[in-house]
Amino acid sequence: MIDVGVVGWAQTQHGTLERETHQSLIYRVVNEALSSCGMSIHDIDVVIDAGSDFLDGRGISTCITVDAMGAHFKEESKIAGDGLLAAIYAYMRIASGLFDTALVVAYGKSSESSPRVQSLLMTDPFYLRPMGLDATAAAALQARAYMHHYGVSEEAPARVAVKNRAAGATNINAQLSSEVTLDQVMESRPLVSPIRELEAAPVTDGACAVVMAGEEVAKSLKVRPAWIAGSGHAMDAFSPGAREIHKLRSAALAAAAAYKQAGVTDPSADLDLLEVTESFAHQELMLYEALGLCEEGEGEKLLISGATALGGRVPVNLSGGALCANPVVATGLVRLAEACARVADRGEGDRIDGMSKAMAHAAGGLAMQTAACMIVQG
Amino acid sequence: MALKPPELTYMEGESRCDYNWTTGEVVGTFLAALRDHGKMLAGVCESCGQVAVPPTSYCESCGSEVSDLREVGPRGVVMSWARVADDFEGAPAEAPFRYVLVRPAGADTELLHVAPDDDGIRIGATVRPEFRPREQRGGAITDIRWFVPDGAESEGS
Repeated sequence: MIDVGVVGWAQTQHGTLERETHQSLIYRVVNEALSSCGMSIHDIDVVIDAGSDFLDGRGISTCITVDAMGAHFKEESKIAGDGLLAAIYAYMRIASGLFDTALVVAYGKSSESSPRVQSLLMTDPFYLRPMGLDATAAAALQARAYMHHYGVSEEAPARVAVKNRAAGATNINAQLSSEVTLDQVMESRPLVSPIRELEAAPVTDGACAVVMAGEEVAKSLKVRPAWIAGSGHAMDAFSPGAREIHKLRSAALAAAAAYKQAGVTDPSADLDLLEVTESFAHQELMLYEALGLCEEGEGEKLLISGATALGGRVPVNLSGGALCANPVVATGLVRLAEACARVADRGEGDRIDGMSKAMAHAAGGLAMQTAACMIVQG
Repeated sequence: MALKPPELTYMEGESRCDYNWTTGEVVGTFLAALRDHGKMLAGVCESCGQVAVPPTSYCESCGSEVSDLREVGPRGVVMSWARVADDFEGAPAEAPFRYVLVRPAGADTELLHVAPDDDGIRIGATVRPEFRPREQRGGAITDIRWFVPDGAESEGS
C-alpha cells in the first residue's frame, strides 16, 4: 500500500454566506487548497466530492458543480454523505497505487432552505416522516436515553458548549466566535428538550477542500504533508429504535478500525488531538466513550477533569467543533483540515508544538447513525 | 475587474415532487393491520430471532430475511422521550407534545411515536397506544394517535 499524505487544505469562512453560490464557494476553496501546496488543478488525477442533492435543491448536483471543482475531463465521483467519507475514498484510491493525486471537496449551504425539512427528508416515508422527526428531535431522544442510562447531569452537555465556544473564539473561520457562560447555555431556549439552543450547532454555509498525494509526489512538494496513518467507517441501523441509542456503536467500530491501522492502542495517550463532529453538545460526551478516551459512562467525568480542553491531556475540538460552525456535508472534512493544520510542520501559525498525531471524526444520519474517522500525523 | 455588490441576491424557488411510495409486503401488512385491526405487528427474524417493530423486510440487526409477522403490545415501555414545545408545519400532534421511543411488550426494538406532554411519560413508564377511530384511519403510522400512560383515561371516554 502506498503512503498517502494530505498535502493541501483550505476551508471557507463559515456563516450565512449571502454573496456566495455553491459554485463560487467550491471554486474559491479548491483554488486555495491547491495553492496551499503549490499544485494546480492539472496536477490532480481524480476528484472526490461530497454534497447533498436535497440541500442543493438539484438532482445529481455534481452535474452542475464539477466545473467549479475543476473536475471536468477527470475521474470524478460523489459521496452523498460527509466529506470525510470522500477523503477516505480518495485516500484508498491513492493508497491502491492507481492514482497519484486526489482533490477532495465538500460543501453545503444550509441557509438556503429549511434545516428541519432537510433532515426530515432523510427519513423513510412510512415510519418516521409522518411523525415529523427531524435531526434535533432524534438527537433529543438520544440525549435523554444517554443521560438517563449513565446518570449524566443536566449541565454536562452545557459544559461541552462552554468549552467549545471558548475554543471557537480563537478560530477565524468559525461562525460563532463568542464565548458563552454555563448560565447562558442553561437558560437558552429549549429546542426539543433536553436540547437547548446553545447546545445545538448553528445553521451554516461553508466549504472545505483537501489535496492528497502518494508518497512520491508528496515528498516532491515544498510543503510538509500530514501523513494518513489510518481510517475507518461504520454504519449503524437506520431506525433509531433498532439501535442501542444510548451509545455510538458505529463510532466505536470506525475508530477501532482506524486505531488498528495506525497502531493506536491507548487513544488518550497516543493521540494528541481529536476533532469530532458534535452537532449536539451531548454527542461529544458520547464520543469520548465511543472513541475510547474514557470508559463507558465516564464522558462527563473526563470533561470536568479538563483533559479535553486546550492544554489538557487529550484536547477535543480546539477549533470549536460543529457547535461553532456546522457546514453540513463539509463538517467532517473541516475536522480533517483542522487536524492536519495542527500536526503538520509547515512553518505556519496553526501548528501546536508537541502535537504529532490527531484524529478527525465525522458523523451522518439521524442521531449519528454513521461514523468515519481518519488519523493523521505530522 | 471588481464587480459591484449585487442588486439581486436571492431568487425564491421550491423543489416539489409527489410520490406514490410502494410499501412492499412487510410494511404494507403492518400498516394494514393498524388500519383494519388496530394491532401492531412486528417482524420476526428467522435467523437471530430479533422481534422488530415497526418491521422491515430484512433484519436490521443481522441482515437476514424477515418473513414472519407477529402481534406485539399493545402495552409498551418508554425507553426515551423528548419534549416539543412549539408547533411546526407537519407536526404529528399539537404542541406541546412528546416524542417517545416505545418498546412494545414482546418486541426487541422501539417504535418512534408521540405522546401527550404528561409527566406520566418518562423512561420506564408503561404506555398503551390510542388508535384513531376506524373511519379516520388511512393505513399509516399515524393511525395510532399517540401513546398514553397506561391507566390514563382515553380522551372523550
